[in-house]
Amino acid sequence: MFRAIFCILIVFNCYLNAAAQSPLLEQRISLQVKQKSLSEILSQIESLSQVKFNYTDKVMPKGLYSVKFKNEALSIVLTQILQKHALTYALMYGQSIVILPLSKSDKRYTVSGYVTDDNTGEKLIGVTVLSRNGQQSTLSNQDGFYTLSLPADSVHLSFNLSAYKTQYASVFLTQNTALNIALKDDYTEYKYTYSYQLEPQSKLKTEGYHLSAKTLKQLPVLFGESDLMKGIQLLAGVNAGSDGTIGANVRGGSADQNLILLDDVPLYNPSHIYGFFSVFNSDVVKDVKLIKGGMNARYAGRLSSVIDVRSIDGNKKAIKAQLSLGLIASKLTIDGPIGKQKKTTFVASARRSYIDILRKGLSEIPTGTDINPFKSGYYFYDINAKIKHDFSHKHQLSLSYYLGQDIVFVKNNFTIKNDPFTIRQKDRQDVHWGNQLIALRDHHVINSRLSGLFSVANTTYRFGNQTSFDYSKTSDTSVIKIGSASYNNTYVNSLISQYHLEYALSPNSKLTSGINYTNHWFRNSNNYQDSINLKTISQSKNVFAHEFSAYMAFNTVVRQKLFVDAGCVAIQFFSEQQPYNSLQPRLNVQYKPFRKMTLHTAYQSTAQFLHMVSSNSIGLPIDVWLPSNKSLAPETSRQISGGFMLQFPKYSISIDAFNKRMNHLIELVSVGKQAIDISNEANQFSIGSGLAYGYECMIEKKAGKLNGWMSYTLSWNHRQFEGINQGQVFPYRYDRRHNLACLLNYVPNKKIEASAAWAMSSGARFTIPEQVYTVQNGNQQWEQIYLYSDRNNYQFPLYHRLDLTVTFKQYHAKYTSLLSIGAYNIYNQFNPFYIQSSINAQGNNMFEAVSLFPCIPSVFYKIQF
Amino acid sequence: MRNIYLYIVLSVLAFGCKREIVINVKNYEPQMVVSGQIVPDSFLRLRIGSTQSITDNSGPLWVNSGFIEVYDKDTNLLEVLSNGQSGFYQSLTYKPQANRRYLFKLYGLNRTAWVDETVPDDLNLKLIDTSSLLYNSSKKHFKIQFELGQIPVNQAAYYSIQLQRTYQKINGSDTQYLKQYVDVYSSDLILTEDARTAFNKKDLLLTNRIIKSSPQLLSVHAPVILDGQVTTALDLTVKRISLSAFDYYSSMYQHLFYQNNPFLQPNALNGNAVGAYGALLGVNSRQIHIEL
Repeated sequence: MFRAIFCILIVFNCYLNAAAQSPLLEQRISLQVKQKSLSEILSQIESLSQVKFNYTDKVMPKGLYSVKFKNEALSIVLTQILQKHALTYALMYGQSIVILPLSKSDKRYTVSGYVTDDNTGEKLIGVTVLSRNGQQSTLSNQDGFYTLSLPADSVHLSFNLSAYKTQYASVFLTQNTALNIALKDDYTEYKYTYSYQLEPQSKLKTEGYHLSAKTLKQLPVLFGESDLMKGIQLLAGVNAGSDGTIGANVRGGSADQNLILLDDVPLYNPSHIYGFFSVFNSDVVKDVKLIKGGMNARYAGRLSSVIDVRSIDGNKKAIKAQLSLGLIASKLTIDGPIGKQKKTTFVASARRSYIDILRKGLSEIPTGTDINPFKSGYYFYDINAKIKHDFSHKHQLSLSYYLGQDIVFVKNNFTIKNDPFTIRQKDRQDVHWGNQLIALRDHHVINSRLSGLFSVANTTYRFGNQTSFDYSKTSDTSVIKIGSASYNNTYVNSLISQYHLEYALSPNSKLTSGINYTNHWFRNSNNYQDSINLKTISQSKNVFAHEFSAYMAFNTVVRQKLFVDAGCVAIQFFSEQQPYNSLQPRLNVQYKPFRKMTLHTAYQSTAQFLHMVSSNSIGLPIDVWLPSNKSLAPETSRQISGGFMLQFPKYSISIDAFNKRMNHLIELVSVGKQAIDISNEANQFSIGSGLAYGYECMIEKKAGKLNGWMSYTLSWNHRQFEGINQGQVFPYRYDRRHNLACLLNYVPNKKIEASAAWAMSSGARFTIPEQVYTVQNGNQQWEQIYLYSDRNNYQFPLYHRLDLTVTFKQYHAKYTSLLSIGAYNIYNQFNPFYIQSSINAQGNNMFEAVSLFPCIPSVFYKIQF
Repeated sequence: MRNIYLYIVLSVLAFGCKREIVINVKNYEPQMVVSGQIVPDSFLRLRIGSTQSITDNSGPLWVNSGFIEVYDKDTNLLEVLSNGQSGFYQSLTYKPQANRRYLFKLYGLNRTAWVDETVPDDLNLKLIDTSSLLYNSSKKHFKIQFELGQIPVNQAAYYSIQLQRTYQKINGSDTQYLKQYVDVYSSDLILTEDARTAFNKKDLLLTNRIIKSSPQLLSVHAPVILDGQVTTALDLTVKRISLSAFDYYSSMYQHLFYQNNPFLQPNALNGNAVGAYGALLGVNSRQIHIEL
């Protein structure tokens, strides 16, 4: 009877209080009791806090107990005291808490829903959802959706995400329950510290490393542009490419071995300005996840890592705009709801660099002559757009679009009047490259245990070069006109259709599976037209490849101590009548021997069917993607990693070791060959292998006014190719033995943020000629020929730099403004970008180092309204 | 395409600041280097040198203490070349013949090296016509149309085309006549179809791969005024070269094209000397002299 009354009360309470967070349970208390009854302990808690307990003596155990808590949240104190005695609690109106026995029913119900940002309504990824008795936990997925299967009883859930205030909710489960939670930004509460109240003993290591939009925006910037790839470079196990570039070499892999996804769709070239900026506009990025090892079976197609970028869905509450002015680019972002019901949201963002406009202004200064024919310039732009409609909380449809282009142009236009002739010439060369992506995603919850995601997408990378030449010589009596035009296009297009299913087998087990079909189209076309010889040459080559894949992954948590994620992906790749099959097992096991410690190990087997052929070492856009075919087997890799993580309330420390073997890697033997044909037979490749191994350490502080992380990687990275370096093993270009990075954010109040990033690493490897000899060329002239002995035989000096940014925020009634001032490489360290042999003023041979980035100050202004 | 690449690289380099650095390069034992052409009906003349450290600023190192044994294809010794001066070795009696195979045994730096090379067959060269044209609409070029004969139809043959100009240089009251190799321009697909030949316009390499008949009419042109100096005469040289020479020169020009690019490691040279760097190459040439 007693229980029935309380059940009724609590069910009633559930309706009113289900989604509410409870400040009462958040209050922190310190308590030390020795040999007291449970009733006495509860009385003491009443005296320390503002709560009142209601219970009957029948449920109280007989015996004396000792407890000790220091500055712990009341919810944690209660959970730990009561669960030992098969008791639970429920929050009633006001400050009353009811103590009652745990249900003995075997019946279980599902709690599921979306976690959103309270300010914008944006779905949040990677939120830890934890039942307060510590029995179950889960993470919100890429759509902000979570699901937990719990016993029919009073349950208390916490929702935690870094930089958001932890929210609590209490529910009495009598049926499957939908529970949507909105997390509040710490700053909106004028609380200038990050909250981190999750019980460390309950958290398992998440798949991959998440960088939220907030963290990304705090990163120091180059030329006023914050860049998520620069943030990734600061993580353990990630080796930056050349100074200032966005290349990320993850655990010994090369930059093209990263599967870079924008809303589940791969991007082929993630950079602007020859690799110095990424294509990701920080205003539209919601979350970035880096997976270095033990990747889930749903990811396939690249050898080394996954960089999974999610874009925002748009503000659900009001239309907002952001205008950002940087040193080299500006951007405008507008997002908000459509319609009164606010079920549809949109985002539109555009960014453009204006180096060419500034330059044009300078070049148009009068020079005193009419002939100023030569003009050149460079600019990039990108456009992000997304529209999302919520049919219900169980069904969402979104359409996203991305277009990015880099354009270099050189033009030479002039008119000369030389009586009786007028000569006009127009000469123009345009080089452009960029990605285009469109994706339609349909996320639907089929029932409380089953949800699905269907998507169709098209992603394209194009590199083109167009030249045109027109000349006319006219007089009163004659007209001579000649001209020519040519273009060269390299194009890779992938049409992707995929379906993923997620099924909750049991409260602690989940099965995910999916199928994927991708049609790849590689095209290389050339056209030349000449009005002098009346010649037209047109050539094009098309190669199609088909990729079918299916995966299944099972993950389970056993008593919150053992987590297993096991899966397998099967792929068939078919190109130019050559099929390749690949079966890639994946395993990720975590074990918690102690409350604060997690041991983990992972194994992954991967294959890469698309190869980026680079004719240079800095990642220029002329790099070409080629499919596997008869002469080019897929690149394969096996990686095993393991380590442990210690989690404390404000800190976490993780140490990992990894060993990765890569086979069938390709390298262009005929270096310097620029026009790489997509017909592989024409290219000269060397096939080789790679080995990378090392240790990683990461110390992270997520809470407090001062937060950030420090990472250190000790690694070795070798390559071996037939025909290169006499077939001997040589160090990879980015074989940096030591890699230390540190990111610190200081947030003294809501108006100021300061951020510092310091990176230090062993220098990258490079190859220099060590000997020369002199021989005659075909014209009987003597030429000095360089002799190279070993590949990557020398090392750049120690690399280090410090970047600083201070951001000032002004909050006004109708808008918020943000001024960011910073400097890249603030102490002006000379970090060589490359080294070349040269001749000095005395005519002697010497080596010359060139650095691209001295101390570069930057200013950035943003207004949000 | 290469222009774009260079533009991209140069625009990156435009940002850079430079600093001389000291790198202690490893010391290697010097290796023999051979260089020379085997021209029919001419005395043999070749040069032996040595590899040296890139930081050695003393100039090229030549080997004078070596000697060369010249054999025919049946390994009959024809002559021994010795007494090198500035690394040059010259035959005193024997003149190689066209379409013959020779073996060379080279001694120097306490090492031995071998070269196996065949002197190519003869060729015919005939001037057909000369004219002038406007190249790229503005520059005046001199065009030479010529006929290349004795081209084997069912057998691979390799050629090299060079243009050397004679121009006046006036220094006060002195007038000097100087010679200079110039870029060979052509709109003939036959002359430009092989991508490997595009790295040096001063020595245009070609094969008979797409030549369907012999003789073949070809045309080349070169600027009349270069660096402000007027060309007074042009020497057109067409050489029939061996396969080793074609491979060697094409690899050399590609190497030199990328030699100073810091982002690339240029290819090695495809020499025909075993045990030494460099090459001894069979060349059979004909020349036409044109006064402008």
